[in-house]
Amino acid sequence: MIKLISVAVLLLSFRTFAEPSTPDLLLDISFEKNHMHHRYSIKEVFDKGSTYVLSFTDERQKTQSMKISEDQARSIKNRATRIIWENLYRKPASSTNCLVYVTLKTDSEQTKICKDNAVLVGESYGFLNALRGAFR
Amino acid sequence: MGTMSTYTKSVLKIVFLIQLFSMNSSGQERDCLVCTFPLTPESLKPGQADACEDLYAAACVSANGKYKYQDIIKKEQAKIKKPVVDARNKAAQQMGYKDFNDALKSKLKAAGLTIKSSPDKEAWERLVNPDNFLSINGDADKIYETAQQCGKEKSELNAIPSYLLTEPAELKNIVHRYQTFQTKYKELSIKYNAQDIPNFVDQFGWRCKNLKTAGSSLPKSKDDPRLVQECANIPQLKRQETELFREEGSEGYQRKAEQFIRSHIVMDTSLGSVSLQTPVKSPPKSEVESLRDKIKLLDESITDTCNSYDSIVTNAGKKVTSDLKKEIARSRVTVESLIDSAYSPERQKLAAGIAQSAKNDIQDLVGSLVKDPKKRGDILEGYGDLKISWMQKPEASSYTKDSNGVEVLNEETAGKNLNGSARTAFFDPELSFFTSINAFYNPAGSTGKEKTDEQVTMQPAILSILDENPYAFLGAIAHESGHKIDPYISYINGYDLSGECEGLLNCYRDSKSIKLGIGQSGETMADYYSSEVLAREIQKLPQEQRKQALMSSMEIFCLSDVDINMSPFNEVHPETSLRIGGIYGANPSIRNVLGCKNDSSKFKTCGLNVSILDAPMVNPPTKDSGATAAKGAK
Repeated sequence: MIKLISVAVLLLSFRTFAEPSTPDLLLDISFEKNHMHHRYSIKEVFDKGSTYVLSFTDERQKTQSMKISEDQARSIKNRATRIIWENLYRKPASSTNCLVYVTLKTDSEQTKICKDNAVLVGESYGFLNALRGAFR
Repeated sequence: MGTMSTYTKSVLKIVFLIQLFSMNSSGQERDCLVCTFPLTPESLKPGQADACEDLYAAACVSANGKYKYQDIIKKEQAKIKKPVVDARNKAAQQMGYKDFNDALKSKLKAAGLTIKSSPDKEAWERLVNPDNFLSINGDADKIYETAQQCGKEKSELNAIPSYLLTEPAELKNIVHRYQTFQTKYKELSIKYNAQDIPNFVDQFGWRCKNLKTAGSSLPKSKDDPRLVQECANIPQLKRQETELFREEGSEGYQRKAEQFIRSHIVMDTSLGSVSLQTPVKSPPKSEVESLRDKIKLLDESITDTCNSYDSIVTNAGKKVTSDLKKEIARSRVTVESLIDSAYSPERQKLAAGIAQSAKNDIQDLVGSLVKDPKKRGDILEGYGDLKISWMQKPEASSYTKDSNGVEVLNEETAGKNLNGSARTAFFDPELSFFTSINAFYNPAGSTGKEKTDEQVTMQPAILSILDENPYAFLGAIAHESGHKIDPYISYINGYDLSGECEGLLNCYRDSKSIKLGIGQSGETMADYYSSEVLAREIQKLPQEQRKQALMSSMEIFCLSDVDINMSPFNEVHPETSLRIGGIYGANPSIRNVLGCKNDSSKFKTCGLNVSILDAPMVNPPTKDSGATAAKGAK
């Protein structure tokens, strides 16, 4: 009986350790134009410490990924956060129908930039262009 | 052209002007407009293969196996960026600075970030013109005096041989020096963090996240209890943070933001003070021993001080740079300077003339391709209305004065007062619309009561190619105009041509052709229409110049193959060598015009059964179907 319990405990503990920890999604950006859907994300992966992975999924659902440093992950997330804050906290509330240009989501906030917001569409365009540049 | 004499340039200019003024009133040219321009020097260099065998190897690769455009890539990149650099300098001058660099140095200094007497040139360039996010970190000590100073002071402290000292007064003095160091960089960090509250909150959130072990919501036992408490308070602090964010730039903002950080947020321990209390259960120690322990603890605590400080300084510098770029990008001087340089009346006339040639040729092609008279009529009429978008200077009423007295685009009215790409292009601090090589076709559309015209947009980097190589511009604008009748957009436009294209697309799917991938049909058909236009224009040249003209028209492709950063092409396009060799080089009309005697051994010949006027047809079209692969002459 004791042996059985020991085996069960052992198996359970193996199970606990064998289960890969789910990566944290720190940033998720979704962009669609002319039926072309692009998605960028940063995930924190726990594997003997934290590593950060920047991914780009193109219109054919093909995903390219690269490891980036914590500083780089913070820098990218910081730029997204500023656009999110400008949209959420500096823009007057609008009741008009929003045609979405880009959706930005971090681990704590998210927002949709509407096409009628010329200023933030322009800023987001530059941001997306720079992200795309990382995969060229 | 680098190799052209001034005399040749003048003669060519006169010939070009005669060409322009000989257009009839409808804008249609009498002859080949691009044919008056010189061919690129690269197209005259011997290639790795003959154009009839492999157009890619002929146009882009030298006989010695190197890229033909390798030597000019840096010059081309600088040429594309120059209008933005010039516009920024001009705007900075109007603001009272010598140039943009001078303005940036001054703004950084005002933010407490004095530049080193001789900053690292590459690090400075990365700050001013970052290629992407991945190349802009870890440069603080190469640019800013304060970051360099931190490293210097830390090294001095680390070098003190405290273990040799025996006098309490000397040791107390060292403790004091460590504490002064920490206080100094803690205060400076508060000052820089206060300049960018969203970033500070983000970084604080990052530290809170790191409190938790993976998969557990419980804090680690060694976590600072005050930090744990502050992390639990994040939602309550949000309101104050967003209020501060709204006040950014106003009088008194900096003081309030610094106060907020001091009151509510636990600083990173590497920047703050450490607990100097002796552990309770330790045996009593002499004063000297206690002081030495304190110094050891302090010495460990400052290990990461300058690294953390560098990150804070780097971010503060990027924020100042970004704010200046934002202000300059939307300033009236920049807007007008960029529009003047990219959208001159001379370029407009030449671009319109070349666009007209492309439209005429596509209309000619449609006459043979589309049998249904209703569809054909709609398409031919539609091409008459297809416009090339041309950015206009905004009205004076579109501007307002910002807090620095600079005339800038009015954010409030930009959405209504500005049109097309101008609505958003100047709100991107990097002005990337003006530096990315791209072009696109937009079908007509409407949102509510707002209507947008069907148009082709050639971004400034492509327009700049017009000056020296209109053959490449012709290929690009023909491609974009061709999208109007690609299998997807023709459906949106009300005349579905997917059936007419299917035979040709099947040919491209063949393993002996380009093995067309899923989702690439639209771009491939646009390339094909472009190749038909080039065949029709190039045939107007003497036979001996046609191969060079076709190779000149491939310049954008070849450049993008040398430097992927210059590539405007995404994954919906086939790979460059396949586009050039398997679509353009394998088009029977092109092969006829070039006088190719046989099929290429590399790519299957693929084209529609269309005829081009005056061309000596090597391959007479067959009548087996409306759209099948034409076989090359045997």
